[in-house]
Amino acid sequence: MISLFLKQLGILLSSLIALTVFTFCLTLLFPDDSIPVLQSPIESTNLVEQYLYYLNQLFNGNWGSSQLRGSEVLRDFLLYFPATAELATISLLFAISVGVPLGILAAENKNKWQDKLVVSTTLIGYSMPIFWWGMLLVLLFSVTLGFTPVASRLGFEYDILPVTGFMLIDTLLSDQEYAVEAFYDALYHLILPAIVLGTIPLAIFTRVTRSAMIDVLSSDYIRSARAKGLTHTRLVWLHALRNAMLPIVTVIGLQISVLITGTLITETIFSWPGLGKWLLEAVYRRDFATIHGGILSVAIIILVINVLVELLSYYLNPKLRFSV
Amino acid sequence: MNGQPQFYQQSRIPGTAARWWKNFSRNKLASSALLLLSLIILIALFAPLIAPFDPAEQFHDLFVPPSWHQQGTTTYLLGTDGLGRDLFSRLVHGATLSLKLALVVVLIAASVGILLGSVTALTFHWLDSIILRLMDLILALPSLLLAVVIVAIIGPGLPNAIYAVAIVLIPHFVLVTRGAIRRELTKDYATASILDGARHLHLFFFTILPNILPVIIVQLTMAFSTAILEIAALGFLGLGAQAPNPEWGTILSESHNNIISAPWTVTFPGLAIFFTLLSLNLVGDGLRDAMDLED
Repeated sequence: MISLFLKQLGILLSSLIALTVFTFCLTLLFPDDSIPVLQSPIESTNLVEQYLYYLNQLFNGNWGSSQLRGSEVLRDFLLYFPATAELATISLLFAISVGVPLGILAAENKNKWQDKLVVSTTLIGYSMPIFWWGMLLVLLFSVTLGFTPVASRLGFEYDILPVTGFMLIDTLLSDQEYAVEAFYDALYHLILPAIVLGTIPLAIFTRVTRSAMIDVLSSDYIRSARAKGLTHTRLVWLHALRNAMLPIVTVIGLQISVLITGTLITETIFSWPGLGKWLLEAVYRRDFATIHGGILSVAIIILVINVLVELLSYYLNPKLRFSV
Repeated sequence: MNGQPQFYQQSRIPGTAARWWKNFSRNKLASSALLLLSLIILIALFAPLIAPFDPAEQFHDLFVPPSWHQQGTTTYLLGTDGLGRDLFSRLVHGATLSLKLALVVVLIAASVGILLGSVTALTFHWLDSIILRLMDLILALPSLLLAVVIVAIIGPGLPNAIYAVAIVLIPHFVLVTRGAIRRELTKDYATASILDGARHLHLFFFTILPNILPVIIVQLTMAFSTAILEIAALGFLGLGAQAPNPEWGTILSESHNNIISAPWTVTFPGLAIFFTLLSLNLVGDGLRDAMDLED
């Protein structure tokens, strides 16, 4: 297990180096003096020395400062990150908690109407351009029915002190007398964006769960468990799901990248003050320090999560653990 | 035949393409998707004949609802937008634009990707591992984010958006081609051909290529759907096609602000994108099944 851990750490390190080489090349493409902190002060250094200087500066937390606001990029990142993390986590939870049971339902009733309904719904979800889907949901639930707010994270009537940056936690930590109402308000604001962002992962989770479950349910050990007289619920949720989890966990890891892509669009539709909006704003205004910092930080998050997912799948699958 | 009696028992074995087509047409969902896709392509090809107005022509009637609405008129089938342009004409011309752009993107990505993939698969040295690392890195970054970054560096606008989406799509082609070639190379017929003395190029063009064609065809269909989605997404974010262009994503971004007063300007462009993507994905799935490909 330790050797596996070290191997994954090695992979993470090598991809981080590759990533910094990539972002270093990006800074070379940017106009001169767009991120002065990252450029070696000595004029006549070669590329390798410049790169080492760049790495050193990154490690020391000097990511340059925004050309627009003058604020430090790393601080900006920490300011906008919680909003995106909150949204992404809730949508992931939504996608898993709806997608996995739907996939199981379809697999249990393979080729019956439930299965056909689920499969065709996921096909629709898979082809949905989420910027349009988001606008349709706003039109239906916010404008026509008035169920949910149209945009932003919290109603303007609430004044919540940011502590963690996660609105759901901050509202509960707040000592204002309307803290609980503010919590529900934050929750209402989250519903639509989370559904929009979670739609494509939901469709993918359902598909993967369905095919994994169909494979597992036709295996011998399930048949013998059934012959032993196990109840259907126990069989599916305890015995089959455990083995079907493996491909699902892998796919959940892959969806992180899809989720981040989705935040760019979702945050635009719902005026959500997160990483996506921050990055897009920087692109519109050609604020290169922010663009550079944004890509680097987002890519690091994705690489780290990928490695964590890999380790989790080793933990879940003894076959993988002992074969290496 | 021709009234002549048949003396020999004849059974014709269908060729590969005929077999694929037979399998494909048995799949009702995929066949109807192909029909829908052909319809969209026809609309795109004959857009100037189908669209009643010029896509940029502005009339004095702003925000006319669709024709079946009480205030709608039959002049403007799907109504008009905030600048008084006929939505139906814009969408029809948008079909031409979207499909054309996606075609260019896929052609660029496929030619570069397949070339790189074949080179890496047929050579076993450092070049292979360098290209693979690079592709893994590009794949680790979210596609739209990467496209946005590329556009940020080279500036917004249509040609740049095309390059950006093409670059994002290349790794998929590289990995798929490389994987397929490596798989075929381990099979006996490839070994036989190598023992026969086939050189690299001959081996590639005459032995391997016909057998990896199914994989590439499916990848092309999927890439086409991704390309349409990404171009529309860039257009929606204001980084792709610019305002007067009738690109579907751009139309959506223009009508985003009018969503309450004129919901039809949001509904129809989205439907156009949705049905195009849906038909492409279904055809891709159907082709994959028909050609007996795994995953």
